[in-house]
Amino acid sequence: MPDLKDFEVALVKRLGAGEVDKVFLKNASAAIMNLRKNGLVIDQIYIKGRPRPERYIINGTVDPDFWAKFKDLGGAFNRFEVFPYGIVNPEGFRFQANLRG
Amino acid sequence: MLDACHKEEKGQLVADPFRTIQIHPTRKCNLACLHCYSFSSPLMKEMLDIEALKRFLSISYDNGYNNISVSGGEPFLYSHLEELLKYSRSIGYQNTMASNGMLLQSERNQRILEYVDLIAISLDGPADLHDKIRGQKGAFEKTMKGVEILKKSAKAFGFIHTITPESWPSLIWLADFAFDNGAKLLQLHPLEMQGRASEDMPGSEIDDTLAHQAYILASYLKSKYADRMIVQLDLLHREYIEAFPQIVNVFDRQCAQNHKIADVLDTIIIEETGKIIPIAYGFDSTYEIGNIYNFQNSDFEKYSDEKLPKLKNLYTQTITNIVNNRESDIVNWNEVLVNQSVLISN
Repeated sequence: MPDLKDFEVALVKRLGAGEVDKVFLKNASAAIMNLRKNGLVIDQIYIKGRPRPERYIINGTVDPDFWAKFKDLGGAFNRFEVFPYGIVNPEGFRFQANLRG
Repeated sequence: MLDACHKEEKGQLVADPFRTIQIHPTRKCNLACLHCYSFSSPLMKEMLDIEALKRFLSISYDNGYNNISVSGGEPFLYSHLEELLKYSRSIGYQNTMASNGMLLQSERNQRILEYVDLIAISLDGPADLHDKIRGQKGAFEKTMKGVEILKKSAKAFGFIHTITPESWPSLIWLADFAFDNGAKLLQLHPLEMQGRASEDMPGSEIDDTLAHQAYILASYLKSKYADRMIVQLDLLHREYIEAFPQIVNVFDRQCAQNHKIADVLDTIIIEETGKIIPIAYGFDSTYEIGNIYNFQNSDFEKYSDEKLPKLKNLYTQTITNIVNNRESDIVNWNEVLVNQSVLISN
């Protein structure tokens, strides 16, 4: 996936620049920590009897209302992790959830 | 509220399955790594007595411990390793191990794998960096031969990486490499300036900038690999500890209320001398639990009564210090706790 590789190169480059931009590093870490504090990293939530695809990849901004509804789906996730892709590219914010098959 | 004593499973809260005894049966090693926290090397000779070790494991199992993690030194150089793992498994333990993976060619060591549930292989980065840290040209290649054996034997394995100022830009490579080789786990542990690292790696401290870089990259890798490979980073954000102190403070957890030793101390360490200490290698001896050579059945209970209050104060003090230190956002909890244990005792 070339776009992913591009992102990774950009991410490491941006973090390397953090040697002289400590404010950026602090803000990026704080953004991740806040996602975790707000429950956007969820492990081992299950749902019974619902057919589902193997994976969702959703691009967009997560807002609290969306997330509340998302959790109300009943919890189909083996593991859910969020990373604020916007720390490199402000337009993108992707999260990835792998669903129990 | 988070309760780190438990995990959620099919909507039910069940006890965390891991109550671990980390065993350092010897500091003998085929390498003398620059970052080794225990000064292990080929020159070390001392080995734990197997009968004393088995006796202690039996007592500990009855007290709630159910997982051993054999480290070292290089565990495959412990002459009683096979007997140890056979015994521990026979009484109900899960067996895990941390190794450099270089000695897996022998028939004896491949036979031992039969008794290992999970093995973690140390990897310091791409070949040149790995060989430099390991102090041996060709170490990377030998380790990878060991990994090939693990792959062929379908043995569950992971990689453990020590993050250094030189290695952090390779973390994405490292995760891809681990995943492509079939690893189930990638543990990222920041370099601690203890043991040989304090002498041979001056200027390699994990400062706040590097801690941020590692924290952000590891979070990305967790997101990237999700449930395909567990990425574990041994660093926490100060504000997260402030919000959820029970993540690190065992005494804030509901299951600690019964004062059963294994519910409070989910990891204990046996050093190569037989000394038993809580939490992590290097913990101050003031908090020593005992010694496997004279350990009695009642010693766990005695420890709970006499030393847990002191340990509780140590946890409280350490968390207070972390929360109040606004200069440091990202924290290696175990390192800070170990350092605080030594500081308070002095």
